[in-house]
Amino acid sequence: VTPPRVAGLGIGSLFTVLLVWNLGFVVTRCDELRPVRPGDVAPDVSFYRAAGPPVSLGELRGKVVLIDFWATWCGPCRKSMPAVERLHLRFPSLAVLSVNTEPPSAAQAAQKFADGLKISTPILFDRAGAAAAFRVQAIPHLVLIDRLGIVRHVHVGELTDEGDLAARIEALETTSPP
Amino acid sequence: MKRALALLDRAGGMLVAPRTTLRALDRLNGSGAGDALWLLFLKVLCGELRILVAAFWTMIVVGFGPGVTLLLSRVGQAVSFDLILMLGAGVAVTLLAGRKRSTGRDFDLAAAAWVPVLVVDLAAGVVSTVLGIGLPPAVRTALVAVSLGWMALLVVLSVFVARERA
Repeated sequence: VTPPRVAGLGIGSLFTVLLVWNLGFVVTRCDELRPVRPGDVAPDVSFYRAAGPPVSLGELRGKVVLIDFWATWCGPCRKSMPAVERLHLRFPSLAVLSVNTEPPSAAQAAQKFADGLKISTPILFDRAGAAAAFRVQAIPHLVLIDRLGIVRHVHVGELTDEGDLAARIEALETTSPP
Repeated sequence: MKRALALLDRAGGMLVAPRTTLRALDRLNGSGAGDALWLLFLKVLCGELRILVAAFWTMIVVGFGPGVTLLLSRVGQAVSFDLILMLGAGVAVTLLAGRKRSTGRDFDLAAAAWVPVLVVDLAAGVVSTVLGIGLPPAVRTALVAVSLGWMALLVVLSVFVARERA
């Protein structure tokens, strides 16, 4: 056995350990990798304001909620946020949670970003694993939740069909029990 | 099996006997880049398996388009730094090879010189994933510096090997 073979087997071992470990995770906890989908109960998470008390999803039970996970570096988020803002203006009783997913150090930049887009909803921050609880893998990630706290629609990527989302919100606003 | 062992021999050789391995690779025209692509594939498969499964779930739960987008963006994130390094090293080797320049073989040597970056990255991945030890940013920066320094040495060796061509 030559030294290159030993070193090569070492590299192979590193690959194997990573593969086995990740395979174990995937097999035993596959569900944790699945995005929250329509029909799931929305996790009871909290979102944090720049100042003031946090907003808990549980407190909003009885309202139709639209959560928008975004970040300042995300181009599709920039394109989608004005559409979300229009939905907010069109449905005043809709609770829109505009959630920045970046670290606390980016809070000021996030506020500036939202101000630049003339977003009227207060910006919230994910400080307690809300995005992870919704298993957000890519942004923008929109989640529509009914008055009972059940997820009704999930949209990932730029919001190109605002009308479809508006129709879903309208249906929930009119048919969900108060 | 033989081919896999030969691949591991060449990758291991870049760590313990780089000059000999680079000379051998230079004679095996086309092997360095091919090896690097296989190693990149293994890196994505072994290290990003959770993301691959999450993208698969996104395809099912949210839609095919968002799932594919997630997959491509995450795979792109995982390999883009490595590809840029290989490309940059390839340009450096071919520019410095002088009259013995052979662009294809120069880029092969450069691709082989990337192996230490992979090994350091894999080792850090094993420590942080399997042992559950989150590496502090300073340690991460130090590891990147070590791997890039190691690769730079191999790029210099690659230039010498390229200039020694008959």
